[in-house]
Order: sequence, then structure tokens, then C-alpha cells
Amino acid sequence: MSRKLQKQLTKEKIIQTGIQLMSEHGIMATKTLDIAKAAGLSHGSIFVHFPTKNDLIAAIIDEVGRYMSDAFQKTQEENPRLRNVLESHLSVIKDFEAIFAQLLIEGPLLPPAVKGTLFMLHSGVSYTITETAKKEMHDGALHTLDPHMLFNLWNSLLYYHLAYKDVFAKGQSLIQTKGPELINTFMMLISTQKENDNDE
Amino acid sequence: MMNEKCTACGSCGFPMSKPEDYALGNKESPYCAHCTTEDGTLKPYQEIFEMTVQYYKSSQGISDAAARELVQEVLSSFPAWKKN
Repeated sequence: MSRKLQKQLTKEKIIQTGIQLMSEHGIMATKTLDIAKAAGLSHGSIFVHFPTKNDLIAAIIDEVGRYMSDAFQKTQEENPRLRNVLESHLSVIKDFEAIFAQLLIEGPLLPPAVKGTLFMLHSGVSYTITETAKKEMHDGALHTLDPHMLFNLWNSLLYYHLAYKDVFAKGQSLIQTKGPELINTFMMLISTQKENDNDE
Repeated sequence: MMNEKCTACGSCGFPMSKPEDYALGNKESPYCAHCTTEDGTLKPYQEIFEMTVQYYKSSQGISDAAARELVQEVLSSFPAWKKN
């Protein structure tokens, strides 16, 4: 195995182990030493790839972001409506549900570099949602909202439920159990009568 | 392994997949169309910074001061600006 490939595999293992431990025990409570032990690596090798713990947290957010970009790109190829994009958004969140919930709970307390990475992810999601919604707003199917409010309304609804997933879906996937209701309710609220008639 | 179709701009992190997302429509370019001029040259840092700040504000409604702080942190991690 080439050195480059080995390095890449080690990096991915650290990210996956980090996701697993931080999901279970919390982000701030998880030490890089714990991640090293669980991954079967030396503590030093963590720092080769991620000089600080915050670099690892940012890399985890980037990992989620890459899956989201990929999912959105596939969805965009099928000339989607807003509903389809929201479904795509949730499909990725579902695969990272536990770590994302922790990011929401602890995010406000994390340093600017990590927050910046999370808000960069938000920008990408916002862009996809608002670009898709533009067409339906122009056609009169959706109420016209400023881009940031459209995104923030959807994100708020989702994030509230995710942060309290243990209340809304204890022992289960929040997205699996509540996802359809979140999408249906949101679409009902922002759709005009014309859209609601078309859906019947 | 992650799908390689989507790459991120080395200047602003914008996800690039369609040819028009890339500088000069070239999928080999490390930068996006927004960060480069018509001839494919990377725009100056300050211009990218201001553009990204405005984008964070319009897409998410965050305050000017917060956007400037976050964008400075984010851009400093990208290959195009790491040394600055």
C-alpha cells in the first residue's frame, strides 16, 4: 500500500472514530487521546493529521458538507422541486444524525474556526435550497421569502428537533420518524393555494 | 470513499460540480468561477473576503461583524490563502 493511501486511510479512520466517540460522549468531553486509543493509533499520529482538536472537528463538519454537496448535486440533475432538495438534505443529516445533534448543542460554545466551518456548510445548503425555491416562487407556487429567512426557517425547524432528538425520537432516528412531518409541514406553510391545489 | 464528482473551491470552499461552477468552465481548475476573473486569474483576497461576507449575510442573515469574523477564519484554512 502506498504511503499516500495509508495516510489517507489513517485520516479517514481518525475522522470516523472521532464522529463515533463525539456522538456518544459529546464533542468537548472527547479527548484526542480517547480517539487515538479507540482507533488503535498513537496520540502523536492524530496531530500529524489534525494539529489541534478543533482541526478535527472542522474536518468532521467538512466530511458532512462533502456528502451534502454530493447528494444535492445528484438531486439537481433531476430538475428538483424544493421538496426534493429538503428530502436530500435530510437524507444526509440522517447518516450523521448523532454527531450533528452534538454540533448543534455544543456549536455556540466552539471557537470561531469551527463555527466558521459550520456556517460555511450552511451557506452551501442555503444556496441549494434558495436557488431551487426561486423557480417555484417565480411561478407563484411558493410564498416569496428572502433567501436567509427561507433557509433559517427550515433550518430552525430541523435543528430544534435534532437538538432534542432524545425527546422527539428517543432510541430512534429523528429523521426517520419526524422527517416527513417536518417537510410536509414546512411545505404546507410556504406553499400558496395554487401549490396546495396542485398537490391534491 | 467520498464521491469525487464534487470538489470545493480552493479559495472560498464553494462546492463545484457543473462545468460552469469552475473557473473558465474547466473542471481541472482548483477555483470556482466566482473567485476568478474572466481570464481565470484568482481575484485578490480582499475582494474574495468581501464577496464571501456578503454571501454569508444574504444567505443566512447573520450580522456583518459575525460574518467578518467567521469568514476570516474560514478563508485562512483554504489552500489559496493559508500563508496570509
